[in-house]
Amino acid sequence: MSRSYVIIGFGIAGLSAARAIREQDPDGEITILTDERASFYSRPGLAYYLTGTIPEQQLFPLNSGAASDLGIHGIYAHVEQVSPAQHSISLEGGKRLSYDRLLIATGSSALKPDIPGIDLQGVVTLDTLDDARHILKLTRRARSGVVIGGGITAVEIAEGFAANGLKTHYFMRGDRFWPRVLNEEESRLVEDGMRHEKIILHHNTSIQRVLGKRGKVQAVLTSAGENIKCQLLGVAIGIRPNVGLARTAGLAVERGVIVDEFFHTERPDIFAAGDVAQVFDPQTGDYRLDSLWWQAQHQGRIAGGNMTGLQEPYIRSTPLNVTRVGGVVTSIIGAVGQGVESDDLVSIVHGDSENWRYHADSIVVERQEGVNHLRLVVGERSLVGAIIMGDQALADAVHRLVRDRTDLGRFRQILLQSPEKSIEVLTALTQQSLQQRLAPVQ
Amino acid sequence: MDCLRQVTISPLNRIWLIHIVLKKKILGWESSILLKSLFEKDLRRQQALADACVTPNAARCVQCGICSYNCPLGLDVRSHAYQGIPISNTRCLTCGECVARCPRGVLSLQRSAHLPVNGK
Repeated sequence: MSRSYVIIGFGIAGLSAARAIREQDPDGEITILTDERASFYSRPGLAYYLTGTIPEQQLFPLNSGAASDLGIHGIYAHVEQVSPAQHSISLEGGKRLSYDRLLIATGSSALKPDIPGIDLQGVVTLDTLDDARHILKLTRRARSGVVIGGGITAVEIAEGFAANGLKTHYFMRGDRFWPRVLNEEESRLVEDGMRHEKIILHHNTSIQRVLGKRGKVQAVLTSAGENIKCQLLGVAIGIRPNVGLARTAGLAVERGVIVDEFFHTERPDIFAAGDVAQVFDPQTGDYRLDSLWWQAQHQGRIAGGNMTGLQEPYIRSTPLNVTRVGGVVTSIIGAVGQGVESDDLVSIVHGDSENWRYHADSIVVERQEGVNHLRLVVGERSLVGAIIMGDQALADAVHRLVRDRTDLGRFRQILLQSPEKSIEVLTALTQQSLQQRLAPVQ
Repeated sequence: MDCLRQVTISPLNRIWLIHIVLKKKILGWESSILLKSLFEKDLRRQQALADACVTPNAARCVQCGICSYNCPLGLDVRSHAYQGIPISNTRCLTCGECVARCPRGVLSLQRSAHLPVNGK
């Protein structure tokens, strides 16, 4: 009899798990449950849908036949409960579905601050396609918007507001943007970019309450007592993994669903991957959260394979995200943390990694040329992190050097003594490691 | 003739050009040095584009689809990016639209190993 695989959540973790299962088990029955009406779409692409760079239909990478080609059975349903003892789940409306292997890939959702008026209509977050549609609908009638929070999502919402013609205010609790990951110079570059997009920045500003009339947002009251009119309030203060189902099923839950490096929960037939999973890292011995697209894809792929019976461990790759913030293309690689806590965020955000926060014991080499900026975090032997803003020509090479922990050798000293030579050093290092890789072949 | 419009041609050169064009028409010349130097810049660019192909780095891609949306030929650039395979489709113009518009620096024009370099 063919095995029945059930996946809860149709994000990138769920989809890659389904693909991996199909590769290993051609006869398995794969069911994906989602409580979103839309089929698989690119969540990071929502930012570009908000700004009008792409139309909505462009968010769907799979053509209509792709799911049936893979033999995936998609069901639009809300899962009410997982019953590990019965190996089944119950759906809204009383239907039950039994599974041989279950993957929880329910993702994460935006948090809202606990302030008066936060439930008024016009307070928006950005997790799903429905959220993006909702924001676009509201911007049609709005004249101005305020955004609070930090990280990439806050900028994306602000840029979305501005692109739709709203007078947009962005509030930061501290004196600069994303101090936990970016240094002062990098924050300045992003802020300049945002000003250029006509976003009005307010430093050292937070909100006390949201003021409304007839259930709709009308203004926000800042901590300084200023009253700023707005019809929309965008919130991106952090995300929370959607652990509800796992918790009621009695699985171990901390910040996310606790899984080992094989994505097993303590139940041998239940797995979790993606934003919802807090994954054991054998290298550090702790459990960490990521909210990165590529990581979720990687996790889904390995979890899917392991659901079919493989025993492949997940080796946490160097967290990498590339994004456009304030119009500047930015790659964030490895340990770049500033060792500074940020008031804007209560947890990680979408496109964020807990790993980035860790402040590496290292020396920083910086190079700045116009809008292009390069920061290398130099560890004892190798590069441990980097931020590359603007021109991305070096980004792949740097990513490889960080990921492979390439020994810097004599170049370390050159980097530290003459940062202006960093580009030449990176070029030489890349060539050197390329030659080493090719050597056995020759 | 677009290329000719972009360069200022002195009256003397113009006569010389017409002279060559006529000669070419009458005698069927393959090429002329002057014409070649006028077009050379463009040819180099053409050559570079012909040698290159759009190469993705899958680790940076989030499947937003801006690339496919902006491809004048409607090629499925996104699925290439997902699989990390260069676009060797002969229909690709290597116009660079997708490379320039990708918000995450996924795509680059790189000299392809499949194509002959400088005709070799």
